[in-house]
Amino acid sequence: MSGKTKVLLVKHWMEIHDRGVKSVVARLRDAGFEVVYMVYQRPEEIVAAAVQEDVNVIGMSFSTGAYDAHVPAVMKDLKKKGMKDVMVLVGGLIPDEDIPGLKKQGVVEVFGAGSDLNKLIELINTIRPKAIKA
Amino acid sequence: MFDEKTLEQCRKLMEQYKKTIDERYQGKDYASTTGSSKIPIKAVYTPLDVQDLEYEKDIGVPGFYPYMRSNYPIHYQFQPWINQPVHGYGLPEHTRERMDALAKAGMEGYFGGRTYNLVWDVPSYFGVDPDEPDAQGYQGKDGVCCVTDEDLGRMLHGIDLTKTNIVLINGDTLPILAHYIAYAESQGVKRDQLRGNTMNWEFTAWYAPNFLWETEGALKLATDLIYFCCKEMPRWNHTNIQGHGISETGADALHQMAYSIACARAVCDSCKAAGLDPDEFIQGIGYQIAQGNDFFEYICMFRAWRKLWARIARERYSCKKPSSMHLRTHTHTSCFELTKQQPLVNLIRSSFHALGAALSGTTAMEIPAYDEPIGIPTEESAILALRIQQVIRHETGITKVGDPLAGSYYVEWLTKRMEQEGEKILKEIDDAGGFVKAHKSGMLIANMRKNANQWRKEVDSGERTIVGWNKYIVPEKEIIKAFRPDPNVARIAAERIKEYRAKRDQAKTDAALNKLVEAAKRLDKGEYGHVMPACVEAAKAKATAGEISKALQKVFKWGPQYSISLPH
Repeated sequence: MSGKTKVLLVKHWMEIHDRGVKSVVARLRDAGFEVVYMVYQRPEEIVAAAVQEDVNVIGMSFSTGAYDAHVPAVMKDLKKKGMKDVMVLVGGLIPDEDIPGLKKQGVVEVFGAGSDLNKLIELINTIRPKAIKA
Repeated sequence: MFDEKTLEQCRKLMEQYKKTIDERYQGKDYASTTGSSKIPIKAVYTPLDVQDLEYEKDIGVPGFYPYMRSNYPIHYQFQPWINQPVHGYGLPEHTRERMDALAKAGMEGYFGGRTYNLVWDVPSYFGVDPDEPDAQGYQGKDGVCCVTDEDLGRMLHGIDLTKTNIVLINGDTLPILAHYIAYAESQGVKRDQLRGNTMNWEFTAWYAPNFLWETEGALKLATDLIYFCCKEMPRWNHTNIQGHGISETGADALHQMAYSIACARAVCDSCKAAGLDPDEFIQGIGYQIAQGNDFFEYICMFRAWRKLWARIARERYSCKKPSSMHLRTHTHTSCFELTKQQPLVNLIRSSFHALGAALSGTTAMEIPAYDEPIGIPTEESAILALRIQQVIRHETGITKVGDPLAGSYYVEWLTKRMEQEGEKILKEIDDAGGFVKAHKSGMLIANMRKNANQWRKEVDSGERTIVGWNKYIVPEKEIIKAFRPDPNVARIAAERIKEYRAKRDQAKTDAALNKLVEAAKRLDKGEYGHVMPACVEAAKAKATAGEISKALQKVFKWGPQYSISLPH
């Protein structure tokens, strides 16, 4: 296994507007991160995948709502699994007024429409990749 | 189109022109390939660039084959385009408020009528009822939560359905059309009196991620809906080919056109194989067309599209009726080029998109509201988007002359080029074994994804300017309040559906759903004409949209493509 920082990007199966998140996938791969993209059905699948894939970052993308339901579910699961080191990011169509509420729950940053992807890369680069596994 | 004397003059003038360029600009000709479709564009066009065009065959007059200039001899002067803003949110009665607000603001259809372009929320898009676990968090958020004939009544009561066009924007089309018929007939309006549109996106939204119906089955379902409409709903436009979605996924103008036509041909081939007469079904197929930033390229795409489609209808499908050769168009101006940053700039951007669509001779228009990168539109922003259409129609004077850009050397050259390049892409798809095979191989989606990523790269590097996003940036001071549907939608919708199920005759519902499964089995074997009538009977027996969809899923392969990967 490489010592690359590993990112899990997720979107719900009913979310059909995925142009943005897929551009982020491409950009993060270009920047040298290992990116796993997952389409999920229920929020509990997200942390399960994060454990299985041993990721440093979870990025959740929303275009048509549901962050109010899915983000708290993910934060709860992370706590349950004791995964304190995973950086949780949110992207997509998120009204500005909802950002403080998401951050209060532990979301590190919200990258809405038109965000500067260099800032996203810089932020992910602040994470020390996990030690190289044998 | 030009005599030798004119061409000779052109050649001489262009020699001088070239000399001047060499002297003044050190030989740089400022040719550009910044057009979204990567067709190299020169700084000037002359008769030399269009000398090979034949006037009658390549240009012609409006209302005559190849209909490049317009479907109609007289168009906007007689009948302007339909105002067709997309709207829908919350519960059906909430959407009704927006319908009334838009009507009051002057939203007009043909001949004093009106078109309500109603969009469903994502769960009902996918045949998921609002009380199912997967729907949680999504009910009524980005469209109306409407899954029964009663819900339709809450939205449409008091509206004369024989005079009003109702557009049902929904992914899982059959159940919603069935409910619409059930509702209308409960009001004494027969199905053959209904006018409006369904999307038929089971198949035609092939580009969408996680799309749920397996392609061949989806085509059978779509064909059955068309079969039904041909027999029973002569005034209904059954199919919408989603160019806009193709564009939003990443296709440039050229590929939007070519992929849309390829998809429409697959639908037509299937209908023909089902025994339908092209002159009967082809008129019910419409295109939803994106008009984006590259002003002239999209206009030329539009003109070439009409011409290509007319030729396909006449030559490939041997259509006889002129109306079968008409490209039916609903413009949905670009969304991916709108920005959250300095969102009011979107009003300016969308105005140019809409102007381009009007200059292209579109027949209906939806313009996204300026605040759509933030959320669904407020009443104010929705009406402002309608005002763009009204200003273009009433104030600019561009409606006076049909196809006013015709005869421009540049426009005619680029239109011809779009036509030729479009034909090349269609041939590539044919060579790959046809649309269904080309799509299933991932070839089409891979092209769109590549283009989308390239576009974003160009924006990020500054090579492509988007005003207010990557240039002329200002700190965003004001927080724009997002429009929010009533927070009680999910609860009320779940209560309603529970009540709806409790008061129905369950044995009757079950019997109707069982019959639908049997009809679906016959369709799977290629026997058309049974599924859609069975959907209507199920709707009349009070089956919900989700239940009708799930009956079809028992036969046709359906299912979200959950995956830990990135296929495209």
